[in-house]
Amino acid sequence: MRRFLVFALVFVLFLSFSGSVWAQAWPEREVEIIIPWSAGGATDVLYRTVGKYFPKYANGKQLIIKNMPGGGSAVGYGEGAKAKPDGYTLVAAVNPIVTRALMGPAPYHPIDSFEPVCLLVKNPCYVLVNSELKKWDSLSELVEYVKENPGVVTVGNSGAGGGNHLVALRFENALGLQFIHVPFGGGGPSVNALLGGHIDTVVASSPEGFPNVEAGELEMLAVFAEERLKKFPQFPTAKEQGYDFTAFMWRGVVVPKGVDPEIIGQITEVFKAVLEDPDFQKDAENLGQNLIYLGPDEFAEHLALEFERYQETIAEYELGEFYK
Amino acid sequence: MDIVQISLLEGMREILDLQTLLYIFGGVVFGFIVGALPGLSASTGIVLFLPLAYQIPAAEAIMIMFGIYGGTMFAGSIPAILIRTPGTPSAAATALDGCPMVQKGEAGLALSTSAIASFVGSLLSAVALFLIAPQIAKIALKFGPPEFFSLVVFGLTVIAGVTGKDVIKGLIAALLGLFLGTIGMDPVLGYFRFTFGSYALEGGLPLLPVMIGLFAVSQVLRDIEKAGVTYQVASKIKGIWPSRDQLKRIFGPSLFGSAVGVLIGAIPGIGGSIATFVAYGQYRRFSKRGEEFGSGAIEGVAVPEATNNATTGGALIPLLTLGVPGDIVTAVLLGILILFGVRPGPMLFREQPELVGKLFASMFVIAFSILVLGLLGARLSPMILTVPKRILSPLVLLLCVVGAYAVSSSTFGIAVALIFGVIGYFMEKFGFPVAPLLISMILGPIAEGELGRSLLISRGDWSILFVRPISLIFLILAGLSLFFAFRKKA
Repeated sequence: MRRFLVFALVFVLFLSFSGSVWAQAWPEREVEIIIPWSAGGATDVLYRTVGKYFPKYANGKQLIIKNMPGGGSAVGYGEGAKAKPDGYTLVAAVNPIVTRALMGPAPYHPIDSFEPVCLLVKNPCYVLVNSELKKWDSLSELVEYVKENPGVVTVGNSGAGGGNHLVALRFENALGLQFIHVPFGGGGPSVNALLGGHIDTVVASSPEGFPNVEAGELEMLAVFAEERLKKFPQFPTAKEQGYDFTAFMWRGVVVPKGVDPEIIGQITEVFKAVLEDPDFQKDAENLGQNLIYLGPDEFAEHLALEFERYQETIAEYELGEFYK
Repeated sequence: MDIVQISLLEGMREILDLQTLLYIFGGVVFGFIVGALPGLSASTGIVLFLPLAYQIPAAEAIMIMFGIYGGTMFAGSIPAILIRTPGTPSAAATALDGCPMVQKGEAGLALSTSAIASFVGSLLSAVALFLIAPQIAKIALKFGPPEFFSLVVFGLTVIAGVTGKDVIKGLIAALLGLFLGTIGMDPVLGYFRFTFGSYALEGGLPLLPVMIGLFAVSQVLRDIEKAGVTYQVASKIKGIWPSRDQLKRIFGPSLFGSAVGVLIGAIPGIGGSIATFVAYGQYRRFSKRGEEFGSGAIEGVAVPEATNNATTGGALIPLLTLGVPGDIVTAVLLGILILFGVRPGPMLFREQPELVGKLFASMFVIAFSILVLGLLGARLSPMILTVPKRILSPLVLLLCVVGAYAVSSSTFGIAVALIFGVIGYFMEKFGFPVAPLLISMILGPIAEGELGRSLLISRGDWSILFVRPISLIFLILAGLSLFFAFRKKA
């Protein structure tokens, strides 16, 4: 009996130490990811698709989607910041994690409340025009026109203070232009207003407007990325046209501050494996999501850079609650 | 016959095998359950189904989701009629006449009316989708911010019809609703209004908990008030089959509701709840039995039910022809269609006509499934009314709490539902109707956003509302509608 107890003790000790040796110790149970929006949005569908492949690489454990909408993502991010830092509550980090905190008081800080895990998706933004009604054939023509006629050209976006609105403002600010920004209640209605000729341009991000571009109803004047879109190689980047401007809607994963770096390492392994799964890549392509993997350090840099950029824009335009 | 119609017949033939039919029927059944539970909406139902959807072929999975969409739209009316708890926002208008019918002992008839009207709405919207989708999509594109604004103003005039006896009290309720609609983020400038530091309020008051409170919780409170008194529960449920005369009374409103539903449903960003109130209000005005509306008119159930089911077909028009989602449900559908490698939009009809055909054909199957299940439900579900109130009321309250919680998985929704329950209780006690509050709370924020966008586009020039013909027409209609409403009252 005694020998058995000693053996058992040694075995238990061995197990507890070896946890770090086995790369796949995490997760031992189901993992929850907070999505600060309602079910069915682009972000929600993406993480649900990740969830489909997650068990394959995470000891067969499920990724549970927890939708916590409200406050333009403030509610979900606030809950995420407060969650137990044990690596079993993840948070979907999308542009608003930065911009929402800059637009008004928020129950979290985008950098200080979280530990970055990894970036999964970077979707380029672009300028859409109606092919039949367009007044400009290139970004330079548009820029020239706006310089001569400031405050005339309307630019639709998917919501006041939202991602594409801020991208349009950054663009305008970078080039010293003046547009009329028209916020709509979502990407769909803004594309619709462009199709109907009610506005001149729309700043959108992949995959908004893709079917209409494919059908030739809409065109992209410029893609705000380093390279042309794989799907629509006919449309040039802003950089090619002489304007060094890039903007993305990105999606990644963060955890509340205080999670063991080792566990963060294991979480990144799982997400990296999902990202490399060819079936997942096919699904992501269908969804119009541009996959790119950045580890914790690079993602932290990315977050800091985005924070700085948007802070500048929001201060410049005195947007939101802090400048009222 | 063009290529799409040929493909439709092709698709029709292909889905005529037992397994596919069962899939679609199963989708409608699932939609029924989701829709009948307050707080679970069509979009939630579709997302819940997603994990299973991966296991079956794409076309079948999409047809099932359409089935869920149609099923929820109809089933929302069951609790709206029976226990005055609209299962979905689009069923709120149905409660206006559905509940009084139940009190008259006509629960079965109210439900079968709803089933028949929903069937007509689904069927006609499927026909519209099949025959004139591109034309309707073209009309819908003509709606920019000024046109939306004027349409919503026209919708607001519906309030004149539902103020009840006391116009002043009705208007007070409507103004309260307009005010409550301003809570949350300013749709154009992005400032927070009346949020008092509450993050949950930044998105505005959540509509479904407000509705659950105003209609259902307040009803429970009234029942508690009567707890000491023994009173007769609608003892005998009269037959469910409408007479020939009643069928005639269902038919007209259903046609009208279907037309309104398809048109308003096809305009992106408007949505089912508005369509039902517009149709209800306008039909009431021209109906010979307009006076009976609100006190259990069979037409008052048929109009909104045909309308909300017709909006499903309507909403699919911009989704399938333009690739533009008009509301939350179609946005969810778009995301999922794309996930299955189907790209809705102008190319869809050229690239995958067989799939389009199958989807169109499935709409017809869905319409018949709704009829069958609806009539079955009309037979069975009124049985819950035989449950004594002292047992039923706590259950209803429980359902309210769960539903209000489910909307955003937070207790905030529950608080909203309970507070609005008390507000609704006192409003009715002092003769203030709740419908105007709800209508203006739904329409107010939309009107505000569209007006803001119109003025941005026109650079502050208000004439944009009058020089664009469609906008002008709706403003004139709104004026006429008010004029006649008040002349009638005076």
